[in-house]
Amino acid sequence: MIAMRLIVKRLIWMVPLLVGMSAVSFVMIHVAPGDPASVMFDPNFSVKDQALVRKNLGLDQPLVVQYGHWLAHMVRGDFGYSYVTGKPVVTSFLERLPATLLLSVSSLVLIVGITLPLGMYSGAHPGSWIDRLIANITLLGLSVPTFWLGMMMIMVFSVWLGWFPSSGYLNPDLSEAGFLGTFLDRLHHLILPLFTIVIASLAGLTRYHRSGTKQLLNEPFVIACRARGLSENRILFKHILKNAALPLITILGLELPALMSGAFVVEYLFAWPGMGQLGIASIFSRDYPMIMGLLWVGAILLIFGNMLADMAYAWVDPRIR
Amino acid sequence: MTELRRMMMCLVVCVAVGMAVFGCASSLSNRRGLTTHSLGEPSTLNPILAMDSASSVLNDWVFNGLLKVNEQLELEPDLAQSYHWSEDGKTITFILKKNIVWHDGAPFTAKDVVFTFHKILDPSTRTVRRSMVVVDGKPIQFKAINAYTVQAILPKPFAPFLTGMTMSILPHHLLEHVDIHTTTFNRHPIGTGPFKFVSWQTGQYLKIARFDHYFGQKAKLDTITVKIIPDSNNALIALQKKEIDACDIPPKDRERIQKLPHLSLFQYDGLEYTYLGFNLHHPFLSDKRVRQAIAHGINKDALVAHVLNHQGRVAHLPSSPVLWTYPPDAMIPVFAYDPSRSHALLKQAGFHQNKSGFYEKNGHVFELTLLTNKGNKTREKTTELIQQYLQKIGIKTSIQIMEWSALIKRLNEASPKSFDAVVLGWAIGIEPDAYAIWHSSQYPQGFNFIGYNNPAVDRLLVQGRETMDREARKSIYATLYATIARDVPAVFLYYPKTTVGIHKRVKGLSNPGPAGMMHRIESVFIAP
Repeated sequence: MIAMRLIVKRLIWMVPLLVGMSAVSFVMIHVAPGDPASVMFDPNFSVKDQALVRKNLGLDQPLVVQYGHWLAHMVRGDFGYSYVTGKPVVTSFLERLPATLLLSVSSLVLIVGITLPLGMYSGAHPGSWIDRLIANITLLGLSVPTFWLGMMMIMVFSVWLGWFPSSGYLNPDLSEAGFLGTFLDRLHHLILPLFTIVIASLAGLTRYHRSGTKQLLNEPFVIACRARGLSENRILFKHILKNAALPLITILGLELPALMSGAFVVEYLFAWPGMGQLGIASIFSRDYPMIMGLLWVGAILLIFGNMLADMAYAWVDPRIR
Repeated sequence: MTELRRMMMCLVVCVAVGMAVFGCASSLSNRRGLTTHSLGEPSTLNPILAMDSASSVLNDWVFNGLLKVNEQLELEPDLAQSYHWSEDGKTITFILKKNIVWHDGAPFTAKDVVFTFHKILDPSTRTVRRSMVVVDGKPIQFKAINAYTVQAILPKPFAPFLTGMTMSILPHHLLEHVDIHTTTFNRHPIGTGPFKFVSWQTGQYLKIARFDHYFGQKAKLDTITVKIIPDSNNALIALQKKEIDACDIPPKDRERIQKLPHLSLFQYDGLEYTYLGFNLHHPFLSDKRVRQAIAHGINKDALVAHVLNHQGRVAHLPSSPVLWTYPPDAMIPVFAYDPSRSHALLKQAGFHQNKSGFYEKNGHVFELTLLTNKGNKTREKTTELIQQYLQKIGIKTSIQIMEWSALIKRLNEASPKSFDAVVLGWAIGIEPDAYAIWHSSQYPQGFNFIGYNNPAVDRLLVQGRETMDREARKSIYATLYATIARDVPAVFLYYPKTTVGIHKRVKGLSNPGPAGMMHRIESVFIAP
């Protein structure tokens, strides 16, 4: 009952949050110089034609009117049409979502799968040479810019070794390949962007798990376990793993919008046709309905993600209930 | 601890096995058709709505205009069989070719032509191509005389009109009753061209295939795939890796790419020029002697050598050496690199050097900020070199590199404009009319943002538009270029050359020229 009331309260709070967020971002993207009609700077296109395009799109109206118009459509679930492509915004999202999900979900799974054992080992052996090695390597991944790392991955594994394609999501010549062929082709294209993301994000979660494990090792229940004569391995895997994995729920909750919005830099670099690439293109062409749609979806997912995380926490950890 | 170690070992083994498996599967060398690339996703494939270059990537292959540009950059009939002007130069009649069919099998007629131009003129169409069919604010009238004859009636003679007739013609029967902005046609175009549209995988590639009922010479290629690769460095890598067949080569990469045995490199003059434009309402820059001093102070040969790696030519005029109106050498005013002349001119203009070596006048130090756009490395490097040259002749210079839209906003602000000088380039078409860039009416809103105003040039610009005779136009533009160059509203820096790398398996290429290496796409084929 209390949980229900909490959810309803959260949902009611969502309304002003969303309106506020959208108003601020609407003003910000309209204040940025340029608009969909003026991005093209070519003497073959007359200034008058550009003004007419602007008028047709309603960009000559006061900002408040434009925002009201947009919000009125949005509350009815109408994301509108892209100013640039004329396609419904929702269609554009749905087209891009599979590629983004493939990349983001697989990278998340891999990141969690790698950081949990690394972090736990480090936490259980603080100060050992392996701990220091892990810290240094993951930190190195964090400190190199993703763009550079991606370029290097392409140089080494695509240009020099020739193991993977340099960019793209699928091979156009394989359009009639069977399920296995398509699957392998997708996987082949996935590896480089995937590892670029994974390497760049190892440091954070590893340190998280490390400090979690380190802290837990001094908890009374661990000391009690030791006193009962349980082996270190048993303590680690039976008792600490569960507790150390707890913060993951929060992280996953916060990751939800990132999963959908895509990795801007990596998608651009590897010509990965996901939401991130769409985001970059929309920002450069000042495609307002598309940018607003992306922000709106991101905000909703962030709020929901947080809510889900709180609920999951309460469910997993009896102390919070 | 053994379990933990086992887990880590598993991880290492997984990664290693993965690498080994994929190490075997690679190379996509069994491609049958031609594969090119686009540096961005098209917004639309509808030629009258296209506002970016990516959206025009298939135009010449899928559509036809009444006229087309040939390899010599001249106009010749395409969908039209012939055309002739009336005596007064105000009416032009196009006789269309018969037996042309759209990719869906419907016949092509005069209705399609009239529909296309009416759609462009329709104020509710979001197009930036209306100026092609409007003369002095009045629309050109298009009429179908019969199924294969179209007449265009101009308010007055207007020479650039013919270039506009290369505009792709749209099918009337598919677009008459739909919203042109949201129709599926924009993603699945039907044209009359040598290739018909096959598929568009969002963010991935576009594919077209030979149209067997094409009215002209049938294409030899089965298919063309245009891969979408947003990053230019990555496109170059794709060319190296034989994932695409052709790609532009930036000056800095030319030497490296030249060594690759599977590629042929071609180089030609482009239809563009780069310039340093002055705000002509600036208190110091409004003086012609000051601008001349700057022109003498910049070593353009050094720019071509260091910025373009010798892949370009020094410019003196707002045109291109490959354009038919480019004048003979004798008519070209040249401002040779001569810093001593710069100093003399600045002194003549009332400036004197202060203790730190910079010129000043009426207590104000001569200080300039050069603007250019972010992301164009060649332009950024050019601006840096110009800064050094200007400092050398006693002008304190700084640089501001701006995001594209922010720069455009700055240049488009109302008069008086606040910028000092800008390094930019103009791409020019095959039509020499430069009214939009140089006519005084195109300031402050318009492309004459530098505020150039010379009544003689205004007259020549109008004359150039209203004269139909090619030779007469040639002499008008020669005078126009020379007048502008002597006024130094801008320092014309260089004409960059375009270098293209093409896979040696691609044969039947055109002669190197601004029309592109695959201008005659029908002749292009892949060597077995």
